[in-house]
Amino acid sequence: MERLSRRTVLKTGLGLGAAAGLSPFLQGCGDNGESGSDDNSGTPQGTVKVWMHQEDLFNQVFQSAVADYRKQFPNVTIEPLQIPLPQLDTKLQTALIGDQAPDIVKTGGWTLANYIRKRQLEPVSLPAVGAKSYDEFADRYQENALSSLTFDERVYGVPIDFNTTYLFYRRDRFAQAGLDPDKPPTTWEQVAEYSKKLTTTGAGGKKIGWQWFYTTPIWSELELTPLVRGLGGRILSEDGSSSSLSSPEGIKALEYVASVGDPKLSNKNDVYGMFADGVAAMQLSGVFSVSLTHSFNSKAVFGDTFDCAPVPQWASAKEKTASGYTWAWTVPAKAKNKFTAWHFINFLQDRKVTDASLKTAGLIVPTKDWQKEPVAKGKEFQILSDQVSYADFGTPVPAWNEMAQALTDAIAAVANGKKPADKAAKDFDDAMKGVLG
Amino acid sequence: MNGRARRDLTRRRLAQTASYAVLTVVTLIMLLPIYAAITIASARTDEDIDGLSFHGFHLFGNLADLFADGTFPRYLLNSIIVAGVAAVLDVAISAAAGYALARLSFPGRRVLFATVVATLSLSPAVVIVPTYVMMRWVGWLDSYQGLILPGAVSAFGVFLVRQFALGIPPQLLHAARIDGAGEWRIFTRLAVPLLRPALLTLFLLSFLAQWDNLIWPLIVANNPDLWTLPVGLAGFEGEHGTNFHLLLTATLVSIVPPLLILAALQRYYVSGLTLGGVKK
Amino acid sequence: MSTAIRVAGASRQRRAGIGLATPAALFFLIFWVVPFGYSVYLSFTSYDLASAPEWIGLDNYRRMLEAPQFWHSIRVTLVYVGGAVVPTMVLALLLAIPLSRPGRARAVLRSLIFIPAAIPLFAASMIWRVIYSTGGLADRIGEHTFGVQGWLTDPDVAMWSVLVMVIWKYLGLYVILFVAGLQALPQNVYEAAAIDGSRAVRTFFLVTLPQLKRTLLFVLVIAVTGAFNSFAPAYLLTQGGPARATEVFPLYLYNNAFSFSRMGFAAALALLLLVVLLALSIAQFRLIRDEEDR
Repeated sequence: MERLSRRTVLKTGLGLGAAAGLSPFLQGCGDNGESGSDDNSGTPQGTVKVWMHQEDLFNQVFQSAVADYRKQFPNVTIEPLQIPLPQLDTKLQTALIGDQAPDIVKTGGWTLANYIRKRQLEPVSLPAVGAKSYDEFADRYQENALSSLTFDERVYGVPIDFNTTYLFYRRDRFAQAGLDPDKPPTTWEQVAEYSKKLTTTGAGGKKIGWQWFYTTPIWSELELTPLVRGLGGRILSEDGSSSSLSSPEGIKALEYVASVGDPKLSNKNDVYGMFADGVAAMQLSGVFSVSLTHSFNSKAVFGDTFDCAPVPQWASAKEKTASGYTWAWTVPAKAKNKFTAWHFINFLQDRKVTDASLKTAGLIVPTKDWQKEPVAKGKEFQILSDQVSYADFGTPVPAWNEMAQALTDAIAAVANGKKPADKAAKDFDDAMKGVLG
Repeated sequence: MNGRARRDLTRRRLAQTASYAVLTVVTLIMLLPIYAAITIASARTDEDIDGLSFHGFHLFGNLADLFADGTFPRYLLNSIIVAGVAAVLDVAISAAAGYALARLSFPGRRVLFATVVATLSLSPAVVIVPTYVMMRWVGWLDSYQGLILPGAVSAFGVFLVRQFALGIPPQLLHAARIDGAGEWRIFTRLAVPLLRPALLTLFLLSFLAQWDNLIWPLIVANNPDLWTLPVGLAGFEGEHGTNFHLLLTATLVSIVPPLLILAALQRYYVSGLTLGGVKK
Repeated sequence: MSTAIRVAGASRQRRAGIGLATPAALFFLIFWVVPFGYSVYLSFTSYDLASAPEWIGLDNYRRMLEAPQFWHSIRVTLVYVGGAVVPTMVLALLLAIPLSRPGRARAVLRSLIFIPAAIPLFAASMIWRVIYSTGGLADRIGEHTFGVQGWLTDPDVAMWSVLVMVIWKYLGLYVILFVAGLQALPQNVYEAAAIDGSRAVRTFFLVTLPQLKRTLLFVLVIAVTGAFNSFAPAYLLTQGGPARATEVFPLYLYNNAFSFSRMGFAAALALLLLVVLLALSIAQFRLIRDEEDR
């Protein structure tokens, strides 16, 4: 491990945006191979504890991959542990410091900076993933997916479940409101206009056009980012050391959030559930919504009842923008079976597994040419592959939890009419002064 | 009976009827949420839920689904283990200390009693951070001992037993000593039987409090195999999906064990509360 | 009895006392005293669990006083404590007066009203989460009265929704305690309170209530203590939202410690809570001690 973590051979350009910005807090991070015993003999063996969040569709894929792996490597036992998504990060923060750290963790890319600053994750082991050099490893994946997992020129995870946001809309509700289901809104201005037309109060309760997530921190970032970036502003500075929501762009974005959607409406399955029931006619979501919407309401059929389109842009925007994220398989610094952990992770990148996860669970593993796979034919994948080139994968900040919670507070305050947008934006920036940097 | 008395009687009857009517309405309002919970737990799917009425009765089917799942029985078992062991520990240790504080003189008695009194109203929340760090040092995160021990012994328990033990006549102990009984023998053979009501009260209150403990298991148990019911139900939803009918079936099941124990030890409950208040 | 035997007896007692009290003493030492001391130390440090605590002096306390969220959380907690204690006690007392009279029907009603109090708080929270959900019982009732509302999603409503649940949960418990208090009153006072009619209210305030003072204080102390320690309702029903409208102090503490890894800051918060609760501990003790003295 020592030998590996000191190497810094990354392709020029790869992850430089993130790496350059992060270096201040990563200084002296080179010696994190100290903890945890490791068998680097090159033979997969022992027990590998895998933590991931509950996701029924992916679990099927995972279980069969485990069975296949065990056939090839009968000396290895894989112990998966499923944690509900809302608790995953809290549990991880405490698990990574204990003596019983798992060997593999499915980690959200947005939370990575926190763990890496605390030196709790291990850089990718090249021998275990069968790569001769970082270049060779990096060549396997989409650049921007890998760059969001790269800190100080080291890659700390293997990307899986890679996504950009989309506009999801209900064709049936569009038709009822006299809107053309084949012409979804392309601008935020249109979204507001359509939203008005789609809002009705009838016997079945209130139905609305657009709906935001008001309580989920990751969605606060994914929703606000395209709005602010599209106006030419930023929520966080490029190096993540300061925030600028109280810029004219930030304030306008917050005002826009307040102008559409209804924060008082709720559903046990959040916006996904409202969309599946047709209460909300439009939402921002990831590609998984294709299967998720149907799983919440078997009558909702993709392409027929509902559809997806690229993220809307501001009418005035010069450049397109969208938001994106990736999950990653990571190995904790305190893991006891690191080599086998990476080896198994590498096995999960096998085409057979990645195809199955795309097909069954709608999860994209961003290998270099995932779009060319026969299973990636659908229009949703084409949109994603277009959007990837301009999507913002978020600014890595170690205090992401606090930042995103404060962002959620700002959105909730403005949407509920508790604060004017400029006040909420300023409060956010003030709160961030003690948190970032 | 004169007219005035009769009028008084009528008025009293009227008032009584009115008071019964009000009490009955209040009682019904109090029971309404439980009734609603049962209707929901009896629904076959969430689409059958309308908040107020039964649409079929599928409670037993839901129970079967719940117990077939594997994680729920585990939470239930963990809750029983954690609450049961903690309550027994609390009773054993509090019985000894409470009796000693009340009826024996020994060095450090005042300090111990002062500590007990000071922590009477404290919740685990106030020491949760350092205790967590300590559990990590000794490697007890994700273990039953880590789940059970830190909160097992309560100031309330020691205090309750002491209050009861003050009622043991010193002459009785004195007589036993003259008969040549050792102190340990006096404690186990004489004091413990006399303290029995207090110890049952303590067992009950301790079990109920542990059963309802959310914050500590939430923090100390990362591994779902160690989750108790409060933690398990808090994370009952899948990635994006929640089933209310199964959630409430699970909730109803989690009410049963404390309810059974409460029913069995009912009279000790009220006596315990009126003496020492509710725990935590 | 000779002095020698008495001395031997005293030393045997001393040994027995030490032996019996030691397990409890160790528990209090390990799980209260040491953590308390450690907490004081941590409150002067910056500590994220990953690297060693770093001494920062009074910074955590300064930060605490400057943080709008801290003051917000205090306000939320005070509203919560007031809202959970006062209406519940008043209602419980009103119910306890008629319910404390003898009679089988009243005994049955007492047991039925007590049922919610026998339900664990986490289970009660789950039930009410579903009641407050869209299309749930609260919406059904709301439709016919005050219109359908975002019970847990409207920042102006959420706290009251949580409080309704808490009042429902604790009402039966306080009724039982008040009934016990009323039934322990001297018969004549009790009879006077039981008289129906125009003088009943006067008698109640002038005679019954003062006699019931001890029970009232006792219930007040345990109710306030419980409310200050309350974590589960806010965590399970609203996660402190919407817009932090229900972020009570223990939840604020929990978030800082376990979501944001600010252990030092959380330790400082915990010490503040400890001071408040210590005062309640002493109040509770004095109440019980006075009882003994009587």
